[in-house]
Amino acid sequence: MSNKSGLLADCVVNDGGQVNRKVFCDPEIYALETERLFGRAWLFLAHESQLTQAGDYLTTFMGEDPVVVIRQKDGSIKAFINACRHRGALLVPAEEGCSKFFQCPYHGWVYGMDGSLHSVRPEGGPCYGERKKELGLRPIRVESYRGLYFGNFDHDAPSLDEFLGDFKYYLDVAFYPSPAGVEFVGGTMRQRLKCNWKLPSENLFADNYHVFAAHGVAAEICAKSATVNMDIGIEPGVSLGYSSTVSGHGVGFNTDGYSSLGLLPDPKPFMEFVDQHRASYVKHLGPERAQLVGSSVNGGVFPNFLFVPGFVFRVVHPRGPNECDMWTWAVVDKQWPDEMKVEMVKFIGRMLGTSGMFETDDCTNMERIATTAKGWVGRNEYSDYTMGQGEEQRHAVYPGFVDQRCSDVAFRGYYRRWNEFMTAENVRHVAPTENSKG
Amino acid sequence: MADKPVSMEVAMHFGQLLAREARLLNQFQYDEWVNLLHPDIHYSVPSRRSHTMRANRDSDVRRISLDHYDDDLRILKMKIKRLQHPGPSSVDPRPREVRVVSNIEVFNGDRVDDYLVYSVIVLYRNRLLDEDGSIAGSRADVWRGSLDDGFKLYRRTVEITQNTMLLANMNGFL
Repeated sequence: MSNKSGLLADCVVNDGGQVNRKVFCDPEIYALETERLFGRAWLFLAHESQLTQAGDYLTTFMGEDPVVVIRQKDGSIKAFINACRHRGALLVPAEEGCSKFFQCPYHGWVYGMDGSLHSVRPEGGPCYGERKKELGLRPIRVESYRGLYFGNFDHDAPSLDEFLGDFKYYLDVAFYPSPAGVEFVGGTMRQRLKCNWKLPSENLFADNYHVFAAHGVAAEICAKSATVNMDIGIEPGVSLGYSSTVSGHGVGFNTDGYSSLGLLPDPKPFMEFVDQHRASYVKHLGPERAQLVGSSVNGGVFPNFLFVPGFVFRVVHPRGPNECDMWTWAVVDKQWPDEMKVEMVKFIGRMLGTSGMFETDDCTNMERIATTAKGWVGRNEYSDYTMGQGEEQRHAVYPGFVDQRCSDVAFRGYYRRWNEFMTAENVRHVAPTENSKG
Repeated sequence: MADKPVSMEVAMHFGQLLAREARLLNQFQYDEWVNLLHPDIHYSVPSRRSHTMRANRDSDVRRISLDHYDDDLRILKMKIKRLQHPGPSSVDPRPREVRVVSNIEVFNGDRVDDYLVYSVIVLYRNRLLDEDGSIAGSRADVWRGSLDDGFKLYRRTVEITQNTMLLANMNGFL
């Protein structure tokens, strides 16, 4: 155990069933997270559709470190710390663009799109001439799955493939429903919340319990104008769906094939598209998994990359212990006609955008948790994630520890994984521990 | 765009109209505000980007954009219903809001009954005991109608200054 064990000893107890709320506010825990979690986990950087040509770049963050992600001439994608090696000025200040070279605005050092230091200004003489090779941008280890590029600061960390493990089964539903794949369209929408980054993360990851309570008003208004029935699988007495935890990643899903489409103003074209392509989904994903396409699905790749197909795709960047930035994208099936893509982007903005019917209530609830966690009593309280504890089990079809949809099973997996990252001294020891109970 | 000036009477009318509209929104009188909207309104608050000046050409503007608002009357009415509804939500208790509208310019539009109205709006919002925030935007409106029959808001685009929305959410209209 580490010398930090005192700090972390009572954070995650009862197999993840209870989590001390100091993990949502304590500055020491946050500092350790930047090192042990954001410093060693695979973090989402970009989707291939955001960077189509050589020189296309976007800027993002891993933890609080600014990162630039660049499409290379050979088609590969590289990522670097977005800071000039000379004095550390932010190198690429725009959120996205296309460029062959990147010039530091401070002393004019120029880097190539492959990160190499291309030239330095001549005023200082030959000082940097021989060291140019060592002074390229700080590279980040990048690996990809189904067009999703992830970065890792730790070169000893297990591969992305190992990190995702059996969760790839579910990722394919959201990001690879057919060989054509998906695309990120419409740019990035950003908003800052005054709460810890884990609160919005765990919400989309695993919280099917809050939907009718938190969104009761919005859900009622939407349902009244809906043209098809939308059961999301958590209605009292209804058990349409499942939730599952896989190596800390989490997912909830139905198997009806349509329930993600019920709130669209006109779901018909979307339902028809799903119908027309169901056979190809079956061929591509197998008969059981094909049923998840079009169904209500929510989930996340540990620790902060979240997806709710047909509603929202998101990363939550930490901004200190008590603030975070949510970055939201619309993701659409590449095969959809343009009208359907436009309709989906509008719908995502209206539901889960900054002024969305649902999003605004979520933001507020998360900030309200942050408010109570600031108190002396509050930060020593435990949040409860015991729903369904003991009910989870292996499933004949679906990977992970599986329970009904409305269950805290994925929360518990999330916080157990968090605890593994936070307490393990050696990153090799942060291999998934799937033997632990759901 | 060629500026097509309007009469003093029309200019003064729109100054009053925009002030009245802001007062209705400040007081959460959404039903009265909806009465000011044209049935074919398009209400838009685009996401703002941070691009280099060289990149900021027309060809780089997205065909499809994920925006804060991109709504017609039906969607606006849905959002208003939520804002008016008591119960567990981010707007109960109601925030306290003040809108300041200025820099008003009024021109004749492409149609005889269209008026192009530019203005600047600043929304100050305070929630619960002490949650404070503000957001500013430049507005370009098209109001349709006449002095005799009144005007309806037909188009509004609000270019806010924030890229990352620092208010957490918008939850209201500019």
